[in-house]
Amino acid sequence: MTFIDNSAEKPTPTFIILFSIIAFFYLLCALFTFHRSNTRRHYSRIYSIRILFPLACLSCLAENIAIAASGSIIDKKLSHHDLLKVIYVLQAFQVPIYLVVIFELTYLVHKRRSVHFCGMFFDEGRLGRRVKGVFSTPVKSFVFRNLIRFIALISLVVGCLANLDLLRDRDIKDELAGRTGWWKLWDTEGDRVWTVHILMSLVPTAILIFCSFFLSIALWRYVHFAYRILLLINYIVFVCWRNGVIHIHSFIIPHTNTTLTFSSCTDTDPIHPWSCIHHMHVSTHGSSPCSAQ
Amino acid sequence: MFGTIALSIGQLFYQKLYPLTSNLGMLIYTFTLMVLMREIDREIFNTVEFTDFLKQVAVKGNQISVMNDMNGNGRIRDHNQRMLEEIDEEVIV
Repeated sequence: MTFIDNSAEKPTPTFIILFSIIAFFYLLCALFTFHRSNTRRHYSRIYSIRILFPLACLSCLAENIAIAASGSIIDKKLSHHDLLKVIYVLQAFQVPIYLVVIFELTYLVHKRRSVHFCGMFFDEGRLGRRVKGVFSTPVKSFVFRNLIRFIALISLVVGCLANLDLLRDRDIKDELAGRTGWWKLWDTEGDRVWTVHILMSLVPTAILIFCSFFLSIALWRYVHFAYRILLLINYIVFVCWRNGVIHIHSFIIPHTNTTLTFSSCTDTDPIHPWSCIHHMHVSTHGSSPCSAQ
Repeated sequence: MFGTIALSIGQLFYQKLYPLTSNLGMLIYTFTLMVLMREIDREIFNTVEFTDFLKQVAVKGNQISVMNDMNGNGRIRDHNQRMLEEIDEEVIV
């Protein structure tokens, strides 16, 4: 994460171009997410994806524009300007929003496809009601969603504390907060820095990485599950299609046969469509049409 | 997973490259989220499509069921009507 400081180096023209390109891509991301989340019914119901995700992209856009223009800001010593403080606060919102969005997307896909997730069981795209009490799926769902929101809130508070410099820089090294990565904290050969302020600027993203890693594994598991389901679906569709093809063949072949075999073959004709429909009915209802309802 | 790794790598560098790499990592992470959104759309579309297919099969199965001849109280017809209404209500994404 980045923020501008009067003591920072001015960006080179190459960096300005690169930041401008990144800002342009963030603009495209904001437009794409806004369009997709407002044209899909399943996203439009989720507030964090429909509203907050495009706003996070716009926040990243504003941040990159500010960094690209940081040369003139550093020259005029305007790093404590009110407008920049707004950008610092918006930047602190990025990680919590991404955290909630990745969780909601993972939750949504597991729920819609009724795949268990974090001990929660879903049935036909709804919360499972088999288990009652404290360990029921609705309770777990409530706990997990609010736990993620709570972690996001902690990230937001830590991000605001670091970005707005509310702890005050006590050391010259504190000025690097938000402008250096983890390597500088562990570098034993070079000029190693280890301050609370720098750590606080890195912690929100570390939380996001940790949670995303966990949710990525859940999605990985889901993909393997979905692949198995896809194979099953393809099998069912193939069986229905195969029976349909057999029916057509059985209908055509008798009419091309000799008179001797014609009567015996045409007698079996009705069996094939019946077997096809019967198979599909059993596949979908779990019972024969004769015993339906 | 790819986005998470990109985000992790972007957080490692020194102050000279850190502003660029951290933003680049975040951009890649945003891209992967958008790819995830597109895949979820596809998954949900496939689910809706397959559910429609199964419902149509169920309706056809009910229409040819021998129960239609055995009782004339219209239970199967009503059931089919409900299913067809549900299919109509489904929004194709």
